[in-house]
Amino acid sequence: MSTIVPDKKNAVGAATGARNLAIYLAACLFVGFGLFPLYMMITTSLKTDQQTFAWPPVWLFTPRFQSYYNALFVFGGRSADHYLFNSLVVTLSSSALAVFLGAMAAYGLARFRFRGNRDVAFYILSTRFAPPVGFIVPIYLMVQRSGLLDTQIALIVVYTSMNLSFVTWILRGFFLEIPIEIEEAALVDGYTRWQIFLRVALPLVRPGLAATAILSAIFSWNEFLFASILAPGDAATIPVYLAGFSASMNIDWGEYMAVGTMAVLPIMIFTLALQRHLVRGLTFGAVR
Amino acid sequence: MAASKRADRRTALLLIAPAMLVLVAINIYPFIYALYISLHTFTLGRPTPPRYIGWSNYRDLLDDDRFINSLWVSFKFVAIAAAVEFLVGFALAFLFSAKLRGMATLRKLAILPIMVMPLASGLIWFYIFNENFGAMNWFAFLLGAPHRIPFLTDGKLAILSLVLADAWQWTPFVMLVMFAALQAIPEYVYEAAKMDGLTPWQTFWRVTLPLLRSAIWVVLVLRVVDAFRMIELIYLMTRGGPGGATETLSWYIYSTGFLDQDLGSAAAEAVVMIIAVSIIAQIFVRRLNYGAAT
Amino acid sequence: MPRVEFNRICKTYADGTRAVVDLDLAVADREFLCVLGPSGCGKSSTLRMLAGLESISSGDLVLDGRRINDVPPQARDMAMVFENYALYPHLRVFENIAMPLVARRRPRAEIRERVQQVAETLQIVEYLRQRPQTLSGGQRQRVALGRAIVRRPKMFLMDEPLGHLEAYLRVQLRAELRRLHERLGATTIYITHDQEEAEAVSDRIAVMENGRLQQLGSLVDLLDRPINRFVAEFIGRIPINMLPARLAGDGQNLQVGAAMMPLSGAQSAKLRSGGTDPLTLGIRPEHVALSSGSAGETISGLSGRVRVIEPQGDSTVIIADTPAGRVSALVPSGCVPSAGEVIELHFAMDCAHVFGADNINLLRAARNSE
Repeated sequence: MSTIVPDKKNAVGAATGARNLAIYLAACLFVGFGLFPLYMMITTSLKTDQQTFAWPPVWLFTPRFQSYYNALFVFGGRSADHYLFNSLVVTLSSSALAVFLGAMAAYGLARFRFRGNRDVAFYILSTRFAPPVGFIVPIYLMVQRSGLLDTQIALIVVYTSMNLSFVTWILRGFFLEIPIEIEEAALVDGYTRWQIFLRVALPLVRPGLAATAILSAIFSWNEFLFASILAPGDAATIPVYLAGFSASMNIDWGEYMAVGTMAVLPIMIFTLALQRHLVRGLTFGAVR
Repeated sequence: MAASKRADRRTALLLIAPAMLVLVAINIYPFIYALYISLHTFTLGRPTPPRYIGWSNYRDLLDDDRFINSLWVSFKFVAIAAAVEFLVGFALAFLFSAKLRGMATLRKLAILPIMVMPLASGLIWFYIFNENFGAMNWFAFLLGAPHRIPFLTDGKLAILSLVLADAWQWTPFVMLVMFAALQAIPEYVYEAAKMDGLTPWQTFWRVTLPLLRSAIWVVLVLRVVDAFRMIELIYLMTRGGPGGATETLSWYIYSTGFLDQDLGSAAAEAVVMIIAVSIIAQIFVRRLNYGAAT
Repeated sequence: MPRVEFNRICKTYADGTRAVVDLDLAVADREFLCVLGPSGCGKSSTLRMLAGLESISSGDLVLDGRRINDVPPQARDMAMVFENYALYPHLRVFENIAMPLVARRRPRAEIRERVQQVAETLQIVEYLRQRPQTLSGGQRQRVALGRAIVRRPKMFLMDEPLGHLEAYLRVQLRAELRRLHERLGATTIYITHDQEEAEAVSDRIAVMENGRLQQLGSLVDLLDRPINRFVAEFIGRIPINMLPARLAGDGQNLQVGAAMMPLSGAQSAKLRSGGTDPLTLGIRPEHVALSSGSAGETISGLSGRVRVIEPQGDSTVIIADTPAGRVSALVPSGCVPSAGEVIELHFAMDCAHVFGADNINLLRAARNSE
């Protein structure tokens, strides 16, 4: 009941030991629930088949890295590293493009008054809600017509567009927070508008650029639907490769989980760094 | 002055044009194209050219039991998942606001699932829910279940299993956003409430909750929209089954278009979905607008 | 019986900061007490402990004869006005003022009537339907005051309530605060760093520094009988002159530079018994007089060259360099020397203070005994 109002630590009548213990227990329980599936994924990738299918489940075992070795070097055809590399290319290109184009648009929306400014801004924001599955049919046909099926270009363009909504919206907020006087001073010093954007404004919103770049990267790295339809073959990204396992009758759980781990861990570790702006990014600046 | 205003407008145009171009190509044009396709028979991989058939794809939807079912399943899934995620996440936000040592670390660990590739979380939960060797059945056994529980192959359980997997990933998101919103409430408001003699319960209802209102809206709309379009968990865990019990609208569109290869019907379904989501999104945009005004 | 007693109250924060040290202070019923001090002196911590917003590290806080250290703020029946107003941003003015009554579940009709009454007193009736964000600072502060007085509490606690306001509004509002206090008669503790404000509103002033109470008294007490060097320097519209000095060999004069300042019998007795070199002479600019004189014939004056002239309306501050250091003098604007001119400065020694090496005012007791 008293947790309803956040208590200052040194306020009169503040937390008691029993209450603290209950809070710790509940928090740890939730963290445990959050980490358990990740733990299952990683341990299964280190188990033998017998250990995987054992009943009761095996909790203590000697880890072996055979599954990783298999996924990377032994499989016939393309192995996991090929798809990891595809993912990397698509992720980096689409994030860079989205952040750059988004920053330009955001600056234009934040700094120039013109009719329809708000409408454009809200339109860009509203594309965040476009259900991907609703667009998949026409986009598939467009990509097919232009001969870009199973290329990275198709994915890069689609991801750029999907990232633009929040990149633009968040950066617009960041630009609005720069005191206009800084840019006016640069204008008086003889900079052109374009130079001001590149040399004055962009460096000032560096935290925003970092946050939007990382969020774009998470999105592009994790995206599955468009990847599976637009690039099912040679240009496939890691989620598409991962999905391929579940189609086969005899799932090799060890390798499956090894690929899963390689798909999940890099972006997760990467993201722990951005904590500070995560909420602002995830909610379009509605909550900081 | 007028000249510089015109120059300003030109600069603004040049800045915004590239992004708008991409959005027109990948958002507006495809929507119009979807409308166009939805008025035709259009089958993937068949050489016959599309044939105009007017609104009959839409008329067919009304008689399509699978479509009606998918709307109902979507509604069930979204309602249960969003409610669970919101209520639990909201409560956890207060829990994690406790100013105790180590809480910041626990918070960082708690939000890790947000970053997991949705397809991979489907994979993990598929494994955990496995009837023969999954950990979930082991826990059920420990709790005294008389036999193996078919988490993914029983109609009623399957949708709840999906909710659990979705909640695993997104409850931390709700917690994180509500936590940040709680932090944004200035300390002095609580002090004023104490001096005014409000009990903790009164403070919660009369001060905290109203101040969280816009954050609550934002997080609810995001959860509703994103649960509505969720497809990865279904792809990996149930593929719409058993017997359509987990066939949401998203999955139905996907399977009509790319498993049954009936692009015309899929496009009609897609248009319905886009319009439905746009209505929800409007609420969100209005809220943001309201938030910006005050 | 005093209403509130602080008995050896200490506040030490978790990081080891000692915000308040051994505070002993009694506030009488219906008194208007100001706590005055520079920022970080512990005055806010003192008020917040009284309010119950901070826990008390040690000592006893007594209200009406009852120890209230562990009583939560809700049960202390004190109203607080915060420096940043602390209005509820999501509520209209009416609802903000009504909140303490709502908390006590008063009937709706009574709430309406009392809020209306308070709004009339504070002349904010026309804003009752607005939200705080749309109001000016002065209006917000009236709302905050309204919220405090609407429930007729035992005490008012005010934490720099006028701190964020423009000068003319502060002057206007502090007069209203004083009138309000005279009408309501509730015990009030008021924190400020502005001595004029403290003088204008309060019955007594408590000066704090470094977490310790330095001196308690009226502004005249503080000006004319500062207990130590800090109080002397902190109080006063124009900074007091502080000059190194020592007791002359005869014990009858104070030597400042080359000049000899004659001491009264009581003064010299006090200095001879307690004086330890080095001494510091403190003399307010109001007590320095000028004569444009020929250099050389210094009897009780110090000669110096005029450096800066600061007109302040009907009087003017003259700052001059003397062999003993910079000295400022407040003179009528009619007889101002020109910059660069050599002048003679005469100190009214009966108003002088002399501080020992431990910064205690050695003459304070002497003057008291006169």
